[in-house]
Amino acid sequence: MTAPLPVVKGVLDMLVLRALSWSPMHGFEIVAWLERESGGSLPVEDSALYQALYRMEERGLVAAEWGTTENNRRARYYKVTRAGAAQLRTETARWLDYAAAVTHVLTKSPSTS
Amino acid sequence: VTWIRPRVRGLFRLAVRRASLRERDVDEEIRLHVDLRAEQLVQEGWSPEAARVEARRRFALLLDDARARLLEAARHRDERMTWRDRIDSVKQDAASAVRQLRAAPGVAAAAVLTLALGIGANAAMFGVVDRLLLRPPEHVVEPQRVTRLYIERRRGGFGGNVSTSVSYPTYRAVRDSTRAFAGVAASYPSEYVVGEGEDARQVPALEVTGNFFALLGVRPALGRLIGPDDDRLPSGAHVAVLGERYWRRAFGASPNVLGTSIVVEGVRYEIVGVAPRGFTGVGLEPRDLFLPLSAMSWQARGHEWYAEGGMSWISMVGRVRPGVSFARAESEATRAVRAAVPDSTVSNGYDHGARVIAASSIQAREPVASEFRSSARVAAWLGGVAAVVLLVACANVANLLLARAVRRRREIAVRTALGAGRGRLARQLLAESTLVAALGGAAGLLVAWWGGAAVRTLLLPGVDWSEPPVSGRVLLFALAATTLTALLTGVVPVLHVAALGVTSGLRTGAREGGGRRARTRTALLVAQAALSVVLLAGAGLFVRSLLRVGAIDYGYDPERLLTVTVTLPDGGGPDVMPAAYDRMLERARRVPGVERAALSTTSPFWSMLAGELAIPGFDSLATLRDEFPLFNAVGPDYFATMGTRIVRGRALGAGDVLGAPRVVVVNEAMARRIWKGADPIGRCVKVDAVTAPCSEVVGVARTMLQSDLREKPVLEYFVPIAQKQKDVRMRTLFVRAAGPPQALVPALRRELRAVVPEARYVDAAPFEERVDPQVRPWRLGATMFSAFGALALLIAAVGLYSVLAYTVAQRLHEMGLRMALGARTRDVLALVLRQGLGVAAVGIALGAAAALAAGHWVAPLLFDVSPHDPVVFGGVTVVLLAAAAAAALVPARRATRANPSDALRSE
Repeated sequence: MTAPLPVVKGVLDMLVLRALSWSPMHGFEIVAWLERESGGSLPVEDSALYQALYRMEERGLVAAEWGTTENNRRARYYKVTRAGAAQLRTETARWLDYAAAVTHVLTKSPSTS
Repeated sequence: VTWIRPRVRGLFRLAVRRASLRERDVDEEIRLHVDLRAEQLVQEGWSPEAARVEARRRFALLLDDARARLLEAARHRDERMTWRDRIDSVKQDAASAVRQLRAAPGVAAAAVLTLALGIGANAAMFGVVDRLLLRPPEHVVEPQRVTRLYIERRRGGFGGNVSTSVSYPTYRAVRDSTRAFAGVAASYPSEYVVGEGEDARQVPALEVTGNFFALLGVRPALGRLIGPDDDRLPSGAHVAVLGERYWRRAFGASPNVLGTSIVVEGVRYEIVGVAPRGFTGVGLEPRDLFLPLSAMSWQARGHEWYAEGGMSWISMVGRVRPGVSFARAESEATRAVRAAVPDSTVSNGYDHGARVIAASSIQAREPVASEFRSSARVAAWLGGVAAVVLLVACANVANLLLARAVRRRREIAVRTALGAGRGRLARQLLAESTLVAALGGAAGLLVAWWGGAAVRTLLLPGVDWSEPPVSGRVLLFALAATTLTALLTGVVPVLHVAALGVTSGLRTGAREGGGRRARTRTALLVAQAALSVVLLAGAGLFVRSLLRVGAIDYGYDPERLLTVTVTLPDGGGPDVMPAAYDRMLERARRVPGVERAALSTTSPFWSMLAGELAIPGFDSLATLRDEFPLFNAVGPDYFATMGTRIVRGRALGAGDVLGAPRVVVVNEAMARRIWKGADPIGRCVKVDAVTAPCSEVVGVARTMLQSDLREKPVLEYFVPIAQKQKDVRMRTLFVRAAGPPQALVPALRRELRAVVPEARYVDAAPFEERVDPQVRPWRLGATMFSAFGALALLIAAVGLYSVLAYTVAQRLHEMGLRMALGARTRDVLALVLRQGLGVAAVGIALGAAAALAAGHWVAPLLFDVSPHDPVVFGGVTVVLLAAAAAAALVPARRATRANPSDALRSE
């Protein structure tokens, strides 16, 4: 198995928004969700996730408030705002177009050109 | 692993997060994360110690700056979010205010309109007061050191006379023998004919000394200004500086005018520059042309003009040295005048013992009564009046907002119970009042623009208004007024919310009985009524004054009267002027629309003459001093043309020619003063010299008003112009029109020009234009006071109506019950009417008391009217009661339609 590609900033934002679109989560839940969903192929440095969360909070894409976990520990829960949901939609569409284009170019057979 | 969903609570974020709090939050997030990661690793089979290290490694905590960078990101985030929160909450308040206004568009429109009129009236009046009283002359550097110099003369007929006019020798004495001034300059305002032939126009000009512009610190808009080299004695350079307004109007603002020339009173002047826009010297009137004093004087006042002390004409303006008080400047200038005029034998002897007064550079603050000072005082009053109108409007809008807050109090109570802070509710109400005020302010600027323009052109036409009606200062003022309005209209509803208990609104529902709110609203209504009374009383007093002014007995009929004057080139010989007037008289009589025409030497409100006079048997003529009789030589038909009645004897006629018996007509004032009760007809007066032969008094004419609407009767005698008992070549042609005088002006100019082709300019103007400046302050006061009074009354009436209508709607149930219990329609009607009239009655009492108390302040502005005039106060009472009755009638009738059975059923 090849080494996992590092996750770039814009992609991380998208992934976080996607995670939060299921339900509000705290930071570790987001990481756990990502690792579970990607099978570990999208490695995210833990502190980078929080950087991303703070930045998105600043831009109004996510909102945060303190709540308690089932084990009664205080945790900061993040949820997607309306602006964040819209951002997720457009970024997802852009990503899919981009990925399709890259895939197309990379997989095209040289003889047909 | 399952997680429970977080409990969502709290609607509002903490606005400001302290740094320590933020640090704690970030650390707590990190700690939780590391703990959970370690737990996860332990579950995967790591030893607890190794799991902790690995968890920290994965968080990059082993690198020093991970935490620091997170803290920095959090700090950045919080700063931005604090601002966004603030903006969001303002947006929300604004949006909610817009919703509230939209919910009741009628109320909103009424409130906005009311405030627009109030704020607009204030801004318009501020613009006028600012121009007249607050702002120093335009383009003058350090105007606080610039002073208009006045001279108070104490000698003879001049007792206590204060004026700006001095002779050139007196000016030179002040200029050259004082140290307090950095400089003293002089100027002379006049009207000059510019151009030739058909294109000739009369323009307002200012002749200035060479140091005038430099002293004021004025910079040219184009070219250069007049300097000391242009104003040499005795004859200066023929150069001219154009006023900016005139440059635009007559030369299309072309920069090519420099070096070209214009003809002023028949002499060529080279245009060397353009003065900056709105520059009027230190006066208020527009100036289109600036000329060197010595150039025009050499041309028009004789070659010894600068030594002529007998002519008092120029006005002085001084700039005191830094740190020198006006008082010191005054005493130095006074000393200089006294040293230069040691006794009354020198030619400017009337300045003997005079005192110099250093006054503000603002003309309307001059130390002597004048049109501008009166107008400025009236305008300042009107500014106060406009403020009162705005207060009435604020009370009204506060009432409207309060009524709505009361209607919404159930909603407010619910929201308060649900945890919305009172601060936030208060902010929303303030947002509403701010929105209404802002809309009112914006619309008010339109009102100010139109209103200000109207006041300027209709009531104060003599002032230079180069700035638009809404200037930067007016804009600032309007902004301040709007802010104040927002606070004033918001504070009552906000206090009301503050006093509102959380539970009371929930418990009692929306029906409102009397209580505190009703009292507040009644108090606001009474205040409105009282203020309206004050304004209406003021309006009444000014209208009465204007009526009195209009009813003044001039001793002649100023309506439908025109004066015609002609400007002729110099050097035509002594008889050219009288001959030209004779020809114009002949032609004028044949111009259609002319009823009569006659020649006269002088004209009231324009010119006057006095000469030697001796009356046998009356030796004390000289002791009459300022009562000394005026001389006038008049042509046939003069008295009929003027509309002056001959009360005894006969008028002067076509037969009173050279060679015929010398005759004279005296006026009633003279007859009374000289011959007391005796009959003056047949008496002898000696005109022009003690040695002259007798002229027989053949008639007594009504006394004519000469120069001041409030003057005491002026003595005057008339001789036939043809008899040349005193050879005077001054002339005025009087024309009585059959219709409106203004309509006759073009025809007269055209027809008369034809018989005097050599004339530079023929001017025909309605006589009333000469009197008008004196009438203007009262017209300004009467018009604006009436407008503001009517406005306040209307606003107050609408306020009374809306509150009564609201009360009736609230009490419809009660009215129905009353009628079910046997009250008649009349009783219910009376109940509501009584409420309205009660408010009006208390308002009248309070307002009248205030108006009577303030009376002595307005008294100096009134004309022959007592500030306690019973007719005015009676009228105001009737008007206000009528308005209150009208406002109450509609709600009262609605109350009578309350359905008794409905009321009973719902109970």
